[in-house]
Amino acid sequence: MITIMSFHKQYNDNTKTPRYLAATISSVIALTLSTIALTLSTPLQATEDELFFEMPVVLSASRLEQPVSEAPIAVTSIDRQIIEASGARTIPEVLRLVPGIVVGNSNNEWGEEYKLVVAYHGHTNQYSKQMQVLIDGRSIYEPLLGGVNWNMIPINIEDIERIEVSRGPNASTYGSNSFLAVINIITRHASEDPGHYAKLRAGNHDIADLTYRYGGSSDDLDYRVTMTSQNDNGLDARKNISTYDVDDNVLAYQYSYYETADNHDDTNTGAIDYRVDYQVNNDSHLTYQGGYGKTTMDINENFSIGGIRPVRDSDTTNAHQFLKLENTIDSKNSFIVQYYYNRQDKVDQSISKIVQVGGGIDDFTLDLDFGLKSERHNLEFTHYNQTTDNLRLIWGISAQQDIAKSAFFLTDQGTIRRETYRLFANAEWQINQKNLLNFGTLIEDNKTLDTEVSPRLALIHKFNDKHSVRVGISQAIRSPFISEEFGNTVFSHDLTSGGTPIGFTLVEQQIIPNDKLEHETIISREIGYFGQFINDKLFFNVRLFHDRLDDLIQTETVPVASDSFDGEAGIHKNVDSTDVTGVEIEFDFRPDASFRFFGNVSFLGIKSNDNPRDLLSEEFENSAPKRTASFLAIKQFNELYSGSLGFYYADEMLWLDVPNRQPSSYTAMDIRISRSIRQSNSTSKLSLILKNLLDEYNDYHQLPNRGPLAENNLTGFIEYSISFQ
Amino acid sequence: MVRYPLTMTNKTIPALIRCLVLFACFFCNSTQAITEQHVIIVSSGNNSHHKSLVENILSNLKISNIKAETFYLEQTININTNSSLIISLGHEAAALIDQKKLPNPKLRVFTDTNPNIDPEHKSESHLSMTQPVCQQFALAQLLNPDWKLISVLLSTTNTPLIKNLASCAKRYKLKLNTIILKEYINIIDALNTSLPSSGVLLALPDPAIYNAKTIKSILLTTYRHRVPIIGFSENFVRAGALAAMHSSTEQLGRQISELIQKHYNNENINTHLYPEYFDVTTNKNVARSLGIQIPDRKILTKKLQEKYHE
Repeated sequence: MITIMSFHKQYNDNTKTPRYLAATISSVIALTLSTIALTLSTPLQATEDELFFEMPVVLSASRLEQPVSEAPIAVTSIDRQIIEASGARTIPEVLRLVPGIVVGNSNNEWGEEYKLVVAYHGHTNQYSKQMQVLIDGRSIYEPLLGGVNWNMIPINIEDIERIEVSRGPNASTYGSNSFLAVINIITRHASEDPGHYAKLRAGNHDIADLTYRYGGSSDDLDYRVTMTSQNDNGLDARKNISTYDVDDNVLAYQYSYYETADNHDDTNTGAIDYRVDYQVNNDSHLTYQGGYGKTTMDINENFSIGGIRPVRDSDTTNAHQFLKLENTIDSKNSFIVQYYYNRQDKVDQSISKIVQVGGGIDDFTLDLDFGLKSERHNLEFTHYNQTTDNLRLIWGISAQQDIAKSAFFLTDQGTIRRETYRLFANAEWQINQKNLLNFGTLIEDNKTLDTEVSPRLALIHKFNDKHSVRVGISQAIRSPFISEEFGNTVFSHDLTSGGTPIGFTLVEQQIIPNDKLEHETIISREIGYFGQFINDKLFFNVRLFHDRLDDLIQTETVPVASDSFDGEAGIHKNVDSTDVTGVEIEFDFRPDASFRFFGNVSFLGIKSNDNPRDLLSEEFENSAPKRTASFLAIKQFNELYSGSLGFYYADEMLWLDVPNRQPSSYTAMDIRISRSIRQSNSTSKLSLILKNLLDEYNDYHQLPNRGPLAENNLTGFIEYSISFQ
Repeated sequence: MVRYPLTMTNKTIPALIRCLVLFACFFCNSTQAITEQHVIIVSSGNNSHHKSLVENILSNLKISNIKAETFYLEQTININTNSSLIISLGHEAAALIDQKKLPNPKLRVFTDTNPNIDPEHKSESHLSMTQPVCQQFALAQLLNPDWKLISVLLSTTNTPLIKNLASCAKRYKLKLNTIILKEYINIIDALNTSLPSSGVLLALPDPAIYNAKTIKSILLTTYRHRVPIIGFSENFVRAGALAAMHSSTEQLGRQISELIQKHYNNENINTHLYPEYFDVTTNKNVARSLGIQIPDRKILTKKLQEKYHE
């Protein structure tokens, strides 16, 4: 039985206790709970052992969060309270609370499965390739196609401690591809979730999710295992329905309208992930994480590529292993050695529609293999050094191997291996009480591309401990991912007539490789302000920025003439340059313990430097919304009831490489009402979550005069969670 | 204040030795010299810190003529003189000495901030190895004058401290939030439920709460609540507490040896003493991460030492 007595007991003369006690003791909590781990043992008298007992270094330099006011770059930190209150089923939903970030759905562009797309400052297609994403320092940026497929990450949202989003390039800390922004997801230490935990969700859109987690410990070892099954039927389709009125065999009227129907994009994910934290000794801590997930997705037919990508299903498995040793040498030195391995296998095979050539040539179909396999090995060493009281150094080296294979994206290329070596260093110099200088650089060597240097310099001036400004300049690169660098997509078929080869091979070359491809580069200049107001109840920060992006990679159509093929094909080229200017304002207001108001607004403009301008210039300029705003209000009504309201707005925009679409915006509102239920040996919570209350939250793929191909309509679900020992 | 009898009436000393002592004293001018200056140290354990404390006491006594005899609990303890000053290190040692009902003068050394002293031993001297509670409040105020709230986790053993805590909170104009943990409650649940996300958590030595199994989770949970901890040891600060006021075995050994010498110099010794020599250790990384600007540890130590002597 849990009994919580939160009282302001009036001690009076009758109790023979001084009256002042009443004013100073604010609450006394008495809880009774069945016990397994981390429970209070029988009260004991303190002994000398308590004073001198050795303790492990828990809050090590690497584990501590850098204060936002001292970070060399604008950082948005999304903590557990926000994650839970947002009612998010997926990580991208929470990321809508980051200034400048928009989240949409890429519905079957290029004939692939629908994806959640997280974009910061545009310049992106469905792969969102200019953002680095890490989980506990492990990059999940996909080596073959770039970006992150958020539907398929084997991580449970309940295991996340916080999400730190660095807005702006941060290559000197996180390496290449930390280009427009870096999303760093930090999971909870295994010891923080002891016992059993289960969560069940059920709602419309066939939402049926189940999560089970168990956390345990023994002496110096803590562990956690989480199993998840997440299922929904994806987006709604907007299908064209046409009817005809026929009068005397003459077509008189035609009615055409659109009807909401199920889209062929059901998603079913099953995943297991685990984390083991082992305290080797007081100075050394070992973390071992692993995970395996399988996602089955229905894929719509893509009509824009001539029926060679038919309706089908795909199975994608993701697995990872991650080992990290943190060692504290002394009060001034510590190091981390980590190794991880990521693997993705996608099975996506089908047969095309019948191709009719005519002229006596036999009709035929193509055996299509859109499957892929990618792997990443990464080994990294990082040394933290407090050189003097005023100087802190972080430096490290890493080696990475990316491996990719795909019959479709890398036709006839076999298995591609690419090694990357990095050396990085960051110094933080406290010049005096008011000024902090942060400088760092990354040198990256890639065997097939030029060695690049990504430096950063930031000066933080503190007016006092509540207000500071930051001036910074940084440069970063984005390395082309493997399919950009080596991409080669070819279909071929030996034509027959009456079953007899006629000695002619039909070849369709879609993508050709480009051995002269260079890195994309960015130079970012920014001024930031950070302030605390109303007795630290209001945190407020502003960022003004100007980014210059060069050598942006896009697909261009070029004529190709070879022995086997004469026609046009796509090629990845460094084609464009843009200037991005804007301002982002973020606030976090907590007037009291029961209320929090977290939100942001951003204004942004992209200008292409192309001369002469072409269609792509306009696409770049429309690739990000000019205005975004979002907020989340969280209220704890009493001990049992809590609620939250989220509002998300993004101006019109358009993903790159989406032909024949028109820009669109979104305005979405989500509501969550929760009730806590405390029982003798368990704590549970029942929540109702309603999403997209104001408008359909479409996927930016509107056709002229038609509207979106698919839309994310009102979604409602019940969520029940329970934890017990 | 207490004064100890300094007579020498041990009948068990062989007659020959007694004669030798008398013979030696014949040549001495001081009456003090004829008194045997002998200390018996009984330690509750023989861990490295126990041994270090004992060694530091002995080392400091070397410069005096005071002889010392050391016993650890597992040893057979033979105390043949009722004039020797008995130093008990820890509760178990004190309990063992009490069982023997010896008339010797005693100095009891405890870990507790505010030990519950048996009325029977009220007249004896007690030395706490930790600072008085009000000094911890003073440290909190020096660390960050903006803190308005101080939280304290207590097991039922330490509930008698509430009165003292409240008094100190009033003195330093801090609001006190006491969280009393009953037996078998989940500490992390309690922290998540009742720890306000402001102010500071004062950790007092309490093996039921702060032990090797719980320390990791407590530090991680309080850090997530962005509530810094004022710990009770240097190791605690190294692990992740913001600051601690603590005495090393060298410092405690020095103070205990000085008290022994005071005793044999017939100087007054308070009945309840606190560590006179101490340091303040801070964790700058934690302070920085939590956005707290704290003074230098040397300044903190100096200011608190001044307060100690006020």
